[in-house]
Amino acid sequence: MNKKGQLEIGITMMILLVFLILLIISLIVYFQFTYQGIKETRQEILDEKFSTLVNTITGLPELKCSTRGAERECLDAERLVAFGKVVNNVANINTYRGIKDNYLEEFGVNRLDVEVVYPDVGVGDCNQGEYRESCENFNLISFKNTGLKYTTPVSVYYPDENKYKIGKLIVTAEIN
Amino acid sequence: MDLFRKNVHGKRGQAEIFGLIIIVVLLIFAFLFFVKVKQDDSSNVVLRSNFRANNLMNAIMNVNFGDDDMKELLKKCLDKGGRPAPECNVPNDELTKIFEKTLLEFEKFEFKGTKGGAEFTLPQISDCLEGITASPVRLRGNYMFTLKLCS
Repeated sequence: MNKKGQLEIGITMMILLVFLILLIISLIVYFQFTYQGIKETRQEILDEKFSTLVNTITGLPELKCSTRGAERECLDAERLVAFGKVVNNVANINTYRGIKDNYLEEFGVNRLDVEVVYPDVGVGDCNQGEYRESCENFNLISFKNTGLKYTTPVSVYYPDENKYKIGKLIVTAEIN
Repeated sequence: MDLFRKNVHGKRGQAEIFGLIIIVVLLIFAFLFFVKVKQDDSSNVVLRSNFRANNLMNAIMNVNFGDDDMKELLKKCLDKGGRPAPECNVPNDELTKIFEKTLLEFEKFEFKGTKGGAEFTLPQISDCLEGITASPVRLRGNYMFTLKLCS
């Protein structure tokens, strides 16, 4: 009787195990579909957020090239340096209180860089050195290094050389 | 006494089976958690809009080499009948470098320029079948350039 009981318990346990395994497999399949749905929604939000953000940033008169009011599809290296200096200068933060906060609130950007990748230029921070033509990184905004990163190629115009180079606009932001 | 021992053994067997099931279930959940966490470690965003392709196309067309810009070099290449004319070597090499430096590792591209029957293409054309296409650039003299990015 006892052995029979043990056997029945064993069979019940086996059935329970098989049932659990089937349940887990079905849960995995279900969550895969849900996960795909979430990923799709996330992608849509990212598309909307970063497209708008990058469009706005590349269209800012503080950064965009223009000659006598006529705008061109490029970023002006002189303006990039000036923008970085104004936003990141400690003295300006005290003078124009909230200049950083305004950009953070408006765009939700944690960090904004333009890295010149072609043709090869020197290595270094363009906001610091005297020789702007031989540096590769324009740091425009630098609040935090965390967040989602989006990179897009941009045309960078050097007015004193009258030349165009290719850079990467790197936007680090969070989805709110 | 004998009956008592058998009952104790039976209950211990039950407890062991329950324990085993719990361990198996926990292991499965731990595995699932590990797989999910491993999938979500990317912080780079890739958009489906043609914004990147348009920006890259614009940057390529503007870039300067000495006194010339890419537009002029590509036009000269197409005027000589496209590849393998020697005039196409410089734009071919420089474009390959530009794509290496601006695109992500998994991205492929197709760059094509046409004028009448002449055609200029970069070798990765066979790898990039479906993707995001930039708005074509048309220049005076019936030149047309297109760029497609594939993930």
